[in-house]
Amino acid sequence: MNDDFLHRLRKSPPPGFLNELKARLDRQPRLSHPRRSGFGRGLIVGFLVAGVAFAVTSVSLTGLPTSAAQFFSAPVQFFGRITAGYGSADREANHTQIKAVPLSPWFPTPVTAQPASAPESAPAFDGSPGANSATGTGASSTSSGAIVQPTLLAASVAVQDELFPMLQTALPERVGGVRINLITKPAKDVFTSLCKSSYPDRDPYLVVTTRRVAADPICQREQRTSIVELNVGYQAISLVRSKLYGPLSLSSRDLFLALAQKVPNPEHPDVLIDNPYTTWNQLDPALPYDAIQIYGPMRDSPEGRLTARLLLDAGCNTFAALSALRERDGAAFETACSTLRTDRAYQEFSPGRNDYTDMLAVTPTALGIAWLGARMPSAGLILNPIDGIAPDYPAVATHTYPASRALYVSLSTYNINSLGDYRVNNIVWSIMSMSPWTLPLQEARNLWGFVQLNDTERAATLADLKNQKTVPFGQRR
Amino acid sequence: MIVQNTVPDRSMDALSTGELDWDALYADLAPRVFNYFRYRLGRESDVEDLTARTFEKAWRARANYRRDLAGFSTWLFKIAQNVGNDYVNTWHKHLPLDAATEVAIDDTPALHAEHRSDLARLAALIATLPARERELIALKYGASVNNRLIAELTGLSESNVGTLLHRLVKTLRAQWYGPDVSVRDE
Repeated sequence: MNDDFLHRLRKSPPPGFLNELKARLDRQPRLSHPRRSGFGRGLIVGFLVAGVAFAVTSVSLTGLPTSAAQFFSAPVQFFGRITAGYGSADREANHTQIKAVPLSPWFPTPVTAQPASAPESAPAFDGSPGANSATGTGASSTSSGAIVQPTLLAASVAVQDELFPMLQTALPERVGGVRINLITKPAKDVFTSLCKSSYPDRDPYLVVTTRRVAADPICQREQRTSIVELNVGYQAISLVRSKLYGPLSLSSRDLFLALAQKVPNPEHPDVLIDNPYTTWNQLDPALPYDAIQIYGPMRDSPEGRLTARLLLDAGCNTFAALSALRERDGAAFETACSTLRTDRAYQEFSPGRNDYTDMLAVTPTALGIAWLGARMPSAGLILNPIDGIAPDYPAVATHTYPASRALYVSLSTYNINSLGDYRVNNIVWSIMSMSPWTLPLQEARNLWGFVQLNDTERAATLADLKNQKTVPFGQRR
Repeated sequence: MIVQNTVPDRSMDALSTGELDWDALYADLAPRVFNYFRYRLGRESDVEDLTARTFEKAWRARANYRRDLAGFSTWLFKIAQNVGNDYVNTWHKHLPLDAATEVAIDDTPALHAEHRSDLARLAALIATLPARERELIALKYGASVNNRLIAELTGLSESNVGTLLHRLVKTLRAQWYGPDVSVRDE
């Protein structure tokens, strides 16, 4: 078949182009050694990983091995029991076994098995304050008698109500062999059990809250000197906007007036009225004559409640009338400072939606919500400062960024000593390591806004725990 | 029957001789990559840029080339295909000004074809073909690779490549020479 008409269209490249390209290629660094086959390397890595897993499992199950035989037999028997399946009778017994302890910055000291006849040496821990009933079963042996099952421990974790979904989602039921009993408490009562001296100290009891223990009235009154307070992370959100018009120069007071359902009447500040503001320049003449339009999560969702809390709280406190309301009627203050308006100024449009960025791009005067701990949504958006402070980690960690707050774990030194510092360490570590990225979307939304500590702060928190640094009451830290 | 009028694959010879001779490979493959882009785009503009981009990518990644998986020319033309795809997907709506005279006029291709260069004529003819067929023409006649290598690069079977090329050439030839192509065919 005649296809010469196609062949004759070929032509040689210009010699100048070929020479120039060749010179450019020659200037590139010489290639390194060719890649070896990955099979051998993969085999070696596989053996190493398997070996490490074997060793960790063995140490976790039995503590430091007393003999080489025990070191090898423990994980084999453990996996043998698993693969053999649980009988209904065995299942209950197996639940009492200590599971593998997750690794943490300081490696846990080995779990010491406690004999059933001596429960006093390992205090029986119960979740409910004031109750001393033992929840653990006594130590027992397997049918082979090779492994001694230690006592199951339990610890209660009292969580401020608005943090409860987050902890419930992210904290496992058992951490390092300790069963976690989560208890939800209103913010004002969250420290009661910890600080009241009428509750026995021996109950392990951790409190997770956004409040400082030193500022709590009950704790101040009781003046307990054995409370340890640990910073375990932050919650923060940021405002984003299209790059087109640049950031809005907003104060936290502006945000409150733009977003709250009820705001102080400008003429009678003691009276709260339905939010009348529709454009930014009504709040501050220096702001543009643009409609107030903020796209955020559903008001009734965990993200929506967090958005309301973080965006309104700082601005709410700038009004003397509202501060007075806090003293007079706490519930009314809470409602005023954490309720988003329901008109078109705040529109429910989840930041998790794929078209969220597009929505902000086509409405460049609108503001959106982004989570500081999350990936930035798009190169087409910019972060909008509040009070002139850009939302970044240093601003959050130093408490200067208004739309953020710290999370704390508080507990008593007796709890640390009785539960074991490494067990407490593991619980604290689990809280500090909460991450929405490891969870399904529906669960991850409970963790939106959580910002993990950086390595330095994390180490400082664990050092405070290890040194049992107590809160000096009478003066704020 | 299609005549296998292809340039001998010297790079394949180089592969069997241990260490690759990069100078020889460049001398062999640079004109072929250059013509691959000419045939694929149907114009001269941007061809040098795409050729340079292909070789720079390949040269940077030479350490990753696995001779046990593919011949060097297969590897290089795969890079060229990707460079071409990126270019077509990203920039096809923004032709440079100097390419404006080479853009095919959709409504009267036959009328204007006589006044264009041969390459522009070919571009006008293959502009209506699907992307896969245009790629076959560029690989076969621009890059001068054999049907087996085309099959590797396109994921088609070798016999399918032969059949498709046969039909394509027949169609193009009819359009190139006019209705009396059957006489010229012999």
